[in-house]
Amino acid sequence: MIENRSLGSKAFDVFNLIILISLTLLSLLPLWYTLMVALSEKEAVQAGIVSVYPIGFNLYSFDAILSDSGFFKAFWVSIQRVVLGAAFTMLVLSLAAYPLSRTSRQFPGRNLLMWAFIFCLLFNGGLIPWFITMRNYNLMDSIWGLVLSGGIPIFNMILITNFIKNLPEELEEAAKIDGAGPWRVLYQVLLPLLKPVLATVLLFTMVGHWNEFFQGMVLSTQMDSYPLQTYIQQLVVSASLENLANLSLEELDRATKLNNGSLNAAKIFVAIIPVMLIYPFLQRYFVKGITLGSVKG
Amino acid sequence: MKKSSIIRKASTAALSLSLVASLLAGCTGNGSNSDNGSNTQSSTSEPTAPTVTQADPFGKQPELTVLSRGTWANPDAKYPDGQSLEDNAYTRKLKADYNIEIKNAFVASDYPKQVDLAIASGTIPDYLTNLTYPQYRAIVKSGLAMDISEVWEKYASPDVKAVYDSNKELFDSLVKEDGKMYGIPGAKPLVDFLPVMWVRQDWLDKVGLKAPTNLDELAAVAKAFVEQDPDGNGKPDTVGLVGPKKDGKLYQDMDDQNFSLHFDSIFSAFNAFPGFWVKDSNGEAVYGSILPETKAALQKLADMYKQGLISKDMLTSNTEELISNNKAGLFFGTWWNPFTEIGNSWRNDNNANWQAYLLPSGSDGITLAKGGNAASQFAVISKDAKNPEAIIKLLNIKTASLDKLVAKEDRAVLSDYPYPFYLTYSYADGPAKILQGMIDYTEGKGTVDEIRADFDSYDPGAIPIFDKMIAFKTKPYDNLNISGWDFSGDKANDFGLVYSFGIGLRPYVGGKFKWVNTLTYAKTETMDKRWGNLKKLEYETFSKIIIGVQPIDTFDSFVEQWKKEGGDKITPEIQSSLGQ
Amino acid sequence: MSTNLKNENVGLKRRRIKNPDVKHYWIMLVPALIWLALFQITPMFGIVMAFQDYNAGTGFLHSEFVGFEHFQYMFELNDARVALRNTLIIAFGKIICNLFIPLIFALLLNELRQKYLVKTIQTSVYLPFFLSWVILSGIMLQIFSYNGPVNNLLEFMGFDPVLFFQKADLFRGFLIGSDVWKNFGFNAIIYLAALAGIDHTLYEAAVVDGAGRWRKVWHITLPGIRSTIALLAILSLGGILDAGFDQVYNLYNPLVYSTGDIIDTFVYRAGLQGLDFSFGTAVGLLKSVVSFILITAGYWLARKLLGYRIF
Repeated sequence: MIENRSLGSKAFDVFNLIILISLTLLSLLPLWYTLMVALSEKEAVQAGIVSVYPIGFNLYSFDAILSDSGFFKAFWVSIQRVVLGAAFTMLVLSLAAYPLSRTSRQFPGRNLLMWAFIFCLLFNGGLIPWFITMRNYNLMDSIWGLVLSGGIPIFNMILITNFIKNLPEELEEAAKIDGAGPWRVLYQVLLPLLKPVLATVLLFTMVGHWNEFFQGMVLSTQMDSYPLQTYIQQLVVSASLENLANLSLEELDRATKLNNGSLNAAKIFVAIIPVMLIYPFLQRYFVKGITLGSVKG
Repeated sequence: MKKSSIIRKASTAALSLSLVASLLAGCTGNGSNSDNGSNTQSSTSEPTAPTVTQADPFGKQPELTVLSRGTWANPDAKYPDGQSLEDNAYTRKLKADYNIEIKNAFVASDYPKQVDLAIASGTIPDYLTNLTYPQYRAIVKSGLAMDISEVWEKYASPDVKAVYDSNKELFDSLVKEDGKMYGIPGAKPLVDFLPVMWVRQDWLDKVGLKAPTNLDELAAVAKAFVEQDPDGNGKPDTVGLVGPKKDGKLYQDMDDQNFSLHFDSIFSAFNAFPGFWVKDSNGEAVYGSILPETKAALQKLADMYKQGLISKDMLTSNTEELISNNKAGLFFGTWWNPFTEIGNSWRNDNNANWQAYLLPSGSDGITLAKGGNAASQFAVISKDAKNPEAIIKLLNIKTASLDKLVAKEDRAVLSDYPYPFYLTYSYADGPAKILQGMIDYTEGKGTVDEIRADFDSYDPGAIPIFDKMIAFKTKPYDNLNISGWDFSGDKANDFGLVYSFGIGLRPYVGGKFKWVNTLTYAKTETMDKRWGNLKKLEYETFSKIIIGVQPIDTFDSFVEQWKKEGGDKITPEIQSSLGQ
Repeated sequence: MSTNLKNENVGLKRRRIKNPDVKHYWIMLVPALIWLALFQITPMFGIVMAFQDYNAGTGFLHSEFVGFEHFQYMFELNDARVALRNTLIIAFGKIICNLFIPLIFALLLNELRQKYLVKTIQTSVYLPFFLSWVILSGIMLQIFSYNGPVNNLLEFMGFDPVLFFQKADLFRGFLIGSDVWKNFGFNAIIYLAALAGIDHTLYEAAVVDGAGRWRKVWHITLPGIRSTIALLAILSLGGILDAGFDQVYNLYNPLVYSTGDIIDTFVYRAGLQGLDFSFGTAVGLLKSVVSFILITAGYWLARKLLGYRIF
């Protein structure tokens, strides 16, 4: 499109470019900073003099992670959780979304069911009854506890049902005329078409499982069963020296020597890497998945 | 307040004379509280106790006894080769020698949270240690704790009972209900509660000042440390008095004690004892935090903060790092700080010459020190535990010295807490005795062998510490500066231990101070529900007043709100619990 | 928004014909329903705790009932009111900012001439959305600390350093700001899609009429996505009591309780850490009730005003 551009319009273009690049940098800088801290010396980190470039560049922290079995155990728990959790959620959601995308005339009781889902997800007994239940099911320290408690994210279910509703009805009608039952409709007709929204939900589920720390904390009685975010939360945010006064003198000594900002930053950074690897690949799907699943009618 | 506190001018001679006596009687610190009524109470209750036949406190369990527990652990902890929290020199020895096996029902770095969850779900492991008072109380209230009166009587070793008796009145009031015993109190040495003022002597010399003896001098030192570049790097990057760390408390109270970076000594200088129950002019119990003295102290702190004499980002950042990084030279802490901040400071600058003082509260030179709750931690045994006696044995073994249990090398790397009954359980004057031994030696009042023999008779764990102290001290013995110690080479690893015992304990051993105790540690019915909230209100208001986001007048509305939200109910309850 | 209506029409045609697929539908729902029964409905019985003086030792089958005592206490308690107020303010602030800032960003991106940059910019700004608050608060506590890079920058520019986590009056702004930072890129997706859906001939016609950039945005772009904005606003109604537990829990401290304590953190502190399980459950229950009402209202509004069924 060729048009005459006024001076003001050109000025705006320059201004716009600057703003957008600033926003981009603003989104990336905190990660950059974390990386720089991880690459700096412990002393420089303590003194708070690290900012845009590493001070006393070294790879010691990353090296230390490699020999840190606690970190790797937690990493492995998180990987298992993401894979199994995503598989479970995708299976349950893709099955449930189809009937729930029917109208209440095609599927009497559909509206009631939908409200029941919403109701159940809002009302709960709170942390303690849930904890007792999970314990009674013997799901403490179990990867299945983490997988199952992720369960059915209602937002994702709505996303898929809306996406199905937005598909042309004719495809399904045609399949039915060919004698396809609901199972074949789901597998042969719908699933291929649902690729964008399923990819989106897959991404959300995986990232959700990867990032979750609270259930990981409550459902773990042994440190070996911490998922990565719980491990990091315990390490970084809730300072492990909280109970200084309760420690014996020797323990105190050891605990303070372990305190290391640079190592923590390296752990944070490594925990981000899987997310940075996954989402750009799924990006082209999730734009479509979200827009069709939520708003555009 | 006179009732349960004593004036204690611990002269060297008096202490060494009373050494053995006080250990047996456990009198120091609360020896003079015999003037109130509870001694009669304990003397009446003892004869009525059924005569239980003593069993062997160290006897091997007839068959393998598995005990479950919950424990704290550091996710980063490193163990020597082949060992772990579950399987280490302690657990192997316990299994081999005593037939006791330990199972960890839960392990958490956020231990209190896991305990809360266990309580909430109504299932606790065989035993739990390191409980806070509210947790302990919740367990007892839910009926989850075992009445251990008998098993305690029968199995607790004489040493263990002696430690209990060294603070019997207080412990009884906390763990006994209707003559039944529901918990084991952690027994902390009294020195843990003494507020020590740590000052960088080399910085003082540089700015030409002496260690402060009153608030004005304190302010002057803080000001000089801020303005006169004591670290000599040409940058205005040093701070004055270091304030509490992130989420840190401002002062000791009935529940939280034995921590660093507080303002207790400043409050005491105004005769203010926030967080404690004290007597008002009519002799009735009143909460110290709502008194005008507290307001005056807050006013002073707010002024100091405003003038930049207190570290700016207190309460929200890790202020202890200011000390570690040698950006600060003045703070109120505890005797064991060389294990933590001061140790780091020294590692970063081997000339950092930290010295320990008391800040006198009045012109008489005496420091008013808040007496702590020696039993601020508790252990309970589950009502469902099959072998409570084995749990008592764990404590017996610990108290009889862990050094006898495992080899020295193992102990050095394992430290105390992997021992499966982790609870501070020490004589009221335990640590001070060790420094006293060293002073005796350096003053020629005893030979190494004599002093060792002395320790061997009651606390063999003291001997390795004593040995290190005399090995590290260089002559002349009266040079207590950092230059008077040898921490070269491997000795650097023991800096925390030797400097804590060698310097940190000196205010306790040689200083003039007087304990001020709260009238009671009891928690009334209304407190169960509302105390947490009132404490939060107090903490929030005071913090904000000090950092100046709220004016000092907020104090008055705080008092009103405190009364309205439960204080007006709690005060009479406390008064009646004290028989007023 | 028309396809939904189309679905209804299809349904109408089949009126009164019993759909043989229904039993298959139920089978498809079985896994979801089992999960719901086991993991949502079973723990729901715990709500009874809110009306009891729950004794953990005996469980809620044998605890004493106290009626509405906990609710009464809640209304007496200043802290509960503070938490409610904070929740509303923070959540409202987040909703407003998360509606309009992504919109502005989407409009700016839409106007960008250097189209080859669009992909890079988008990929970058989505990133924070995918990071957890555990990670981000760890980073933020460092960046905004007294001697962190932000304060170094402020000092360099000649300002006084700011104690971000000490100042209660800054904390809400900080929560809202960091939330918007985390989410703006992602929230812009829907706007960008709506912008792409606007008929291009409208713009061409406007150019013929001599309209400038501003007038095009004002007269074509914004009206074109008006319904999208309205819908997002209504959808966010259900979240008005969700001020973000993960974020606040990992960032706050007692100095900022007065402005930063929200219902969820209050429930956590009073209920679990305060060992007052019944009280915590009562506050949580009240929150669920209000949220449910708001979601129902949002559903109803979207249907009546925009003719759109959320689910």
